[in-house]
Amino acid sequence: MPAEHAEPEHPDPLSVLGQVDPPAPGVLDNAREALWAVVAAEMLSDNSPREQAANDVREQAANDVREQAANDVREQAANEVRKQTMRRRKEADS
Amino acid sequence: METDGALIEWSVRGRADAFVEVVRRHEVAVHGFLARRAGHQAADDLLGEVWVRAFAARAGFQPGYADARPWLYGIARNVLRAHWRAAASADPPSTASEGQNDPWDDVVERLDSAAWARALADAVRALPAGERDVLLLVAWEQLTPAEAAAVLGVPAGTARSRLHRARATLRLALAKNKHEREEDRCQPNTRNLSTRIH
Repeated sequence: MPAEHAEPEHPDPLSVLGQVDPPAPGVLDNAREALWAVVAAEMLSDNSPREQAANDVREQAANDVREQAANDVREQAANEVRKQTMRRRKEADS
Repeated sequence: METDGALIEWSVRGRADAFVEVVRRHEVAVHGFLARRAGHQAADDLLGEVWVRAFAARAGFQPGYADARPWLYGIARNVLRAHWRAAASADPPSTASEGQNDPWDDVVERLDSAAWARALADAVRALPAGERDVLLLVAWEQLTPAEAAAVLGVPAGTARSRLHRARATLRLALAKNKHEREEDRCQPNTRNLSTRIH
């Protein structure tokens, strides 16, 4: 039997279950419009996700430095208090 | 032709419009993914949200992956879940069963009335959700088990074993259905269904 007259292979029934019509005209364009709006907004703001990530890192680093400086000040103040306390005790003992 | 990964990388580096080319490549496939699971109307409504979410998340895409489809399906799946959650919370309690809003009910409703299709749909509906997800990503979206695993965020071995179990369960269910129908001799279309589940 010639190939073109052979009975067509039955498709996978599950694939048949999943067959859907292609999207109606305009649906894909509309969805792309929603995307273009955010693409344009980002291009105009010149704030790419990588730059945003870099900004976040910079901000985090600055916060870390601020926090470290505050910790240093607190620790120094505590040391100062300890020293003064010991000095007073020595003076009292003598 | 540039890979999806390269285009997404460009879009992250400042050429945001390169992302639109990725969308053009996969928009029919992603719309189909949504339509198969939630119907055409919901797919039409949700497709734009998928693109916006994907665009916002593109810095997290691994540029080494040439094909963005599994990643896009993963985002579409999250959009669908949010859609179903919103629909379930909007429904009165009598129709939304405590948040267990199974979208497969809608799929069955949309099927043609052929008996074999109903039997197959019922068998798929009875599968555990994790097995069903893998099975349909492979059968409907033509993904490999490893790609399906990436969509679902599970190890590839887990996806393979789920697929194996799902196919075995379906074959068994359909063989039983075939046997019953051959006994009834009223629905010849169900013959050999069980042997054609790939």
